[in-house]
Amino acid sequence: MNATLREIAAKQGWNRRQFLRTAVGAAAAGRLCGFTPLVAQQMPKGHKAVVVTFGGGARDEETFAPEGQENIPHMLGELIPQGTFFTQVINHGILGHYVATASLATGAYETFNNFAQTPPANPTVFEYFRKDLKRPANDAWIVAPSNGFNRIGASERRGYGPELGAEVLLPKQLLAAAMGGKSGGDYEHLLRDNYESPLYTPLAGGDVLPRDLEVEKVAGILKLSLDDFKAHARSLASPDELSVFIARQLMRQLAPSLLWITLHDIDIAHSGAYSLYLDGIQRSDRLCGEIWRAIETDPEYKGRTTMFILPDFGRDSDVSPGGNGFQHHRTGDALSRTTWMMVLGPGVRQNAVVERPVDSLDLVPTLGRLLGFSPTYAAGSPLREVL
Amino acid sequence: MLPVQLNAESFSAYPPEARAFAVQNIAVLRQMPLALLPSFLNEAIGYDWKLPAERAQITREMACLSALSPEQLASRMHAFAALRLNTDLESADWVNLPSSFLEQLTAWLWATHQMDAFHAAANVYTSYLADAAPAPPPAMPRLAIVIVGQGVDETSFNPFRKLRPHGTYFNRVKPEGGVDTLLAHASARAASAPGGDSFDHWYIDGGAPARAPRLTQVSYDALASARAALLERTQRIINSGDAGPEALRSMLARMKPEDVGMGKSPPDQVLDRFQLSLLTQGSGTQIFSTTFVQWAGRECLRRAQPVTLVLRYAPRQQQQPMNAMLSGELPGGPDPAGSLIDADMGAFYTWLNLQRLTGSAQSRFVAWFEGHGEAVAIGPDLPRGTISDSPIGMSELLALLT
Repeated sequence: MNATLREIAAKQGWNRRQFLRTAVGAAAAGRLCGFTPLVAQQMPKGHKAVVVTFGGGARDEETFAPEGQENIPHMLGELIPQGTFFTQVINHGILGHYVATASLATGAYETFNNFAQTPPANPTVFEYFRKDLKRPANDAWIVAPSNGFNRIGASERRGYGPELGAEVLLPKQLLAAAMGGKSGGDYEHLLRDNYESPLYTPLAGGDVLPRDLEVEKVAGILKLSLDDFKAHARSLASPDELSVFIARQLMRQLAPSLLWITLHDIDIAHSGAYSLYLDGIQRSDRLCGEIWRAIETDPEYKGRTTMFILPDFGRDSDVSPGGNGFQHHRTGDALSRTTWMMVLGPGVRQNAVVERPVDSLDLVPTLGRLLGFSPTYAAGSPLREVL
Repeated sequence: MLPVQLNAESFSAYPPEARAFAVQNIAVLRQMPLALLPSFLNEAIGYDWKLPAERAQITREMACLSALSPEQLASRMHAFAALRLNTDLESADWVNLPSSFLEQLTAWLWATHQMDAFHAAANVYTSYLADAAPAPPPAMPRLAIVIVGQGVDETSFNPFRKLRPHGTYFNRVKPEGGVDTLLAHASARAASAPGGDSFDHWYIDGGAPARAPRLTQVSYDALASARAALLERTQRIINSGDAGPEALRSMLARMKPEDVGMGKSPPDQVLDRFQLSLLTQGSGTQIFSTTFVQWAGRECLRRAQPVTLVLRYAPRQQQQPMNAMLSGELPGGPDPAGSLIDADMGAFYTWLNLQRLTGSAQSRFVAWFEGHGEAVAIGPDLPRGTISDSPIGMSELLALLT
């Protein structure tokens, strides 16, 4: 690497904490004297958790570095001041979106083929939650992009499994099914799927596509007619907006205690169009603000909900010779493995920054401590700074 | 099959020059670990259609490895040999289908948490080869020209922010005749170049190309029928339900120019193969012209190592759903504003990739906002991080770099 490239690499080592200190005045949690112990045990009965992951990580320079701040006004202005921000969340696993999200959900690095429709090998957070707390099926939901994510709700581990898993909603597949397989031009823009393959991955078909009966059933659960669903979809600009619309319907109708939303618009970066990648970041930022406002204005959630926001991993750096910058996450370099996490809610310190490196796998043990279940097979550790 | 079992017959299905090259170097190939050898064969199998710079590089590297004693070679290969593979990989036809093998190997390395070790081994190995078998310096200082923003009349976008710290930013360039001047300059360099090969000077356009004699030309418009044929073929495979993303990738790797209607005239297999690879190995190159130009520029610099490169971006189509685009439904109109942002980042990547080549300290770079007064120029004699607000013609600007 020549001197110029070294300079650029050094610049990309931008310290998120340094930014946060200057941009929003957040304090380092490590400097504060003593955490409130055992907050989780003091949580109000019926505590809830909402997890928002970005499938298709965003890099610092498009988000938290000075040149990227214009893309995330909601996170900067509204969310970070209300929460604790972890500056280094390291993903040591496979950098494919489905397998990485599954790893986040199990607290163990899954090793299956990212493009296969395979259930996780380890029990998911949903199974732990429902089994230990004896919660009904309708209390744990996932709203995710389509394709392989349809198996993310439950493992096949003995003693756990689909009967203890989460209900999985794949809004794009619902939309496709609601249209009877005829995707009119009005809806086509919502149906794109996986951006990770070199060209295109089709919508999952056959057994995976919801049957009419299931679409009707879901529509009934959401208290939404198919016509209303389609009409609303017509007004949305992206699949992630559809996902958030569905999630908010779920919150209104069922108020699940554990809700997991995976956003995916950012992954348009794989098409190589930088402007569309930025659009995805800006949209995700806005949607995260909307989700938090929905939590704060819904009596079922307000004051009793902890929200976690984290990308599943990062993207390649500009200077990694094996990659092509923002477009992919194939090199396994530090930037593609390092991301961040934001936690908001009751008992969570506001405007605080945690600098120590934490692991992507720490999410599930943290949820376990917070909600009161034991993630036996999870490999991570509870994050004491938010407990 | 293991590498040590290779013999001349193993390469009987290879194209003639690739076969000869492999057989000539079989002693070294037998000593390479299975975790590395198919990566090398994946390059060697296309030897007949490689660009001159690539052929020279492969030959140089093989000569370097051949000069090592068995012990020295084993030492260089140790990190790859230490990777744990499996019997499925050993029994795969990695000689004739190296790209398929690499798909399997990648999945295996991820699944067994050995990808970081593989990357580390690869970094050490490529660094060693770069030092031990360096590419020769260019015959003349390299020059890359990137033209962005075609079709944008007014904008609040501030171009070249990432490039400005590395050179001089001009904000009063006289835009009249700018494209012609830049292309004429590139053509003149090609005409005056001492020796070299036919792939030393390139012009890649995201739309219909302008006249540019003596430059190797690639354009998005000229590949329209090949792009359509590729998408149709891909769609057919997807609709069959038999191919997932990995199988699709392997299928793309095996495609030949004639599969998508290329290779009829003129009969230039090397350029046809290069152009096909842009469509089959690049993500989004089939759909967005801005992605095509950026990726083509990257691959041109990496593979051809040119001394002159002109990239001209054109407005890409508006974002459409993948399904609709791949089904050939009517695209939306062009998106000049979004394309300017794409191209601005692409210009930065082109400059970064120029820095990876030999002679980078002497290389020259110009990026210009077409039809407007903004440009940035980077060269050994131009100050960094400065702004020039004096009026300047394009020829004068180029003169600052010569």
